[in-house]
Amino acid sequence: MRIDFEELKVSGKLPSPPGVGMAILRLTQKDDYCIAEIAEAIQADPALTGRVIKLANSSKSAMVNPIVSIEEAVKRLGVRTLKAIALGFSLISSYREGVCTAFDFEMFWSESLARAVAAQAVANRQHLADPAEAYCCGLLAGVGRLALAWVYPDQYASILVENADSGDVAARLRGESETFGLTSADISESMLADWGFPAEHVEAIGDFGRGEQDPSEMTPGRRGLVSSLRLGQAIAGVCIQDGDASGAWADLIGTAERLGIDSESIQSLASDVAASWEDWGAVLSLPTQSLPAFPDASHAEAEDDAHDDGASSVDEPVSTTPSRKKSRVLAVDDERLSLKLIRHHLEKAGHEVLVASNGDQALEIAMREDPPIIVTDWRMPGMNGLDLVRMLRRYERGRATYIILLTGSDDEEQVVEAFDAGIDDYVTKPFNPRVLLARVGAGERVAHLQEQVEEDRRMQQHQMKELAILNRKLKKASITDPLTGLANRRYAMERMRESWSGIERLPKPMALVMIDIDHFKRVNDEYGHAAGDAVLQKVADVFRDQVRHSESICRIGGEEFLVILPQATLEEAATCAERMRVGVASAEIEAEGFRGGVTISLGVASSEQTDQSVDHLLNLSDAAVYAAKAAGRNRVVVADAPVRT
Amino acid sequence: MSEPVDMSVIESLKELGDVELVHELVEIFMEDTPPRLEELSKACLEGDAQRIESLAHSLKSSCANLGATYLSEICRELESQGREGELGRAKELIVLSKEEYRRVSESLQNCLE
Repeated sequence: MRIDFEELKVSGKLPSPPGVGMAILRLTQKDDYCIAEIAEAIQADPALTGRVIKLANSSKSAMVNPIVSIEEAVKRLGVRTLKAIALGFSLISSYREGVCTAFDFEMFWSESLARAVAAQAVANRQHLADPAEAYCCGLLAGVGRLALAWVYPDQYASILVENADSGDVAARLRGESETFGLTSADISESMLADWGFPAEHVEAIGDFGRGEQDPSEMTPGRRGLVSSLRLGQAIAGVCIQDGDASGAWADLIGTAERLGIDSESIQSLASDVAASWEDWGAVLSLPTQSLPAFPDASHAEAEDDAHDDGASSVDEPVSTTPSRKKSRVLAVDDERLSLKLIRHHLEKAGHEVLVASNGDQALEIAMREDPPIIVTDWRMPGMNGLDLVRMLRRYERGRATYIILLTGSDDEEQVVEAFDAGIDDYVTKPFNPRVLLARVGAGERVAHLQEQVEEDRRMQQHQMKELAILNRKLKKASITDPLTGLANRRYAMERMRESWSGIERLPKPMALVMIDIDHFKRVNDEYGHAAGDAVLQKVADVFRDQVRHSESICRIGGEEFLVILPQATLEEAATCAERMRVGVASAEIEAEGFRGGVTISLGVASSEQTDQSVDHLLNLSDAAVYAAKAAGRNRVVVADAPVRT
Repeated sequence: MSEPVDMSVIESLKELGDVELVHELVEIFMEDTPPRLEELSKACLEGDAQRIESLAHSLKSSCANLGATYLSEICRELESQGREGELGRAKELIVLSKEEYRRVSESLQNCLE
């Protein structure tokens, strides 16, 4: 069988990002998309929003200035990275299981995640590549394998089974090539190119997947990424190792030394990576485990061997299947033999088990430790199992706990009573261990979903806060003149009417100072609009220095300003106007080819002079400006209307 | 009368866990049961039905875990007498349970050797 990527692509069978991932892919394939559009698309998915923000915050600079909004995240990560991450995360959500029996989809993602986190850490530490880009490449580097397992489950399973023991990547690639005519590395490359990834990333992922040995021919950017991916993969190899990890450690030490990183530093890096992997695993609901211990000195020889063997594989080992991290379970029984037995079976199945021998103790432990699952006996002296359940359900913490009751009988009345009390499931005693574990497994799934719901809820709350902040910013933007930062005409009119409607109740009158820059048209014509804008900004700065309540200075037209003084007499307003005139006249302006100064004409009017309307007051001040212009400019004129006493 | 201990239960415990687990469980059983039986006699003398119910309940489930089916049955009977406050057969059942315990412990010890 020979597959052709183009054919495969049009068949529509290839894994492709659903929902938001696809929306972002489409957006970024247009030429004229903007960051706001992308931010909007991401925000449609609260979980994705949280993950993107988390990634943006995982760089060093974020420690000082944590990012809280998606817009900031977009700015920090860049559109390129963001697109990749949205794609990767949405693929993870949709391709978690498939029919290919030999391919563990969850483990595939878990390993990809480890490689991503590790490549990011390596890129960051060694300055080999942009950390966030290394993360994306690490996450998606194996996507060709996913595609093969997805589209050709049977054929791919036989390749995997044949090569399961050796863990030899080259052999697997040969098998792929023999069966399909191309390798998973080729498919990764084609898929990423098709998704519009930058050529450098596509090539780096191809080189990495094929295990190309000589990166010296490559461009520095590509080489940096390949090296980050290689070492990232070696760290991931240790992270996912569930049996004897000494081989994986030896691989890692060898790979690290080729990059000039000593054994001690790489151990500490690997332990940071493992912690961050577990963290991310929880965010993406992927199985993780803690870092296998570094082999002690007695294994030093094995390390040296691997070191000499320069070609040792650092790529994806095929046959690694660490078990999913099991939930913690609280087991409660007053009968110590039963408790011992329950504990034994749960621990054997990989659960961390907390135990309590009575209801009170169980309640205390449950409140403190918040275990996702509780298995409790019913009949116990003191607080019995059902009392415990009722107590737990009263608290927010206990409401989400999955509770399995052990009961001596499945008498209908008793079962109903137990469910009324709030249990989720029951197992009859003496229990069959396999049944108990199956029920606990079901509980684990529910608890897991519950956690995701919680996480989404928290994200939504966070988004609401963001939205409120955004609204405030929008509100401010809608009343601000973008050029000068002063209030705009809309604000001026509102503020003026507001003051007018309040003057009756206030002891002092209100006043307006209307201002026009003299010969402003000349500045624009002779020096251009950029110079004109600079002059407007400078004048605005002078105004801000001269007027106590700067929020009452508004730019209401091209070169027209209005100062609203809600509590000022005509005389006080005139004094303020004169201060502004002198301030502007004495300011030196030097910008955009313009050099020199400008003057302003000001007209002052006060509510002492009219009781008609605020518009009349505005007209009076306007007329005063005309008078000032007519009288030779660069002066303050008080409106020509009698002051009523 | 049936066998005191259902060996298939012990076998499956050995399979699921290991021999050591069975040892530990039997040890716990041997340690806990005699004082419980004494407590039962005392509670019976005092006519404390509630105490009888609770002791018999605990004993019942530990017996069942180790396959001591008949002893577990006796305890079930005792438990329900205690629950209903009808202690008519309680004394007789306690005597019976002590005899049965001797058979069970012998049998358990044999299967450990």
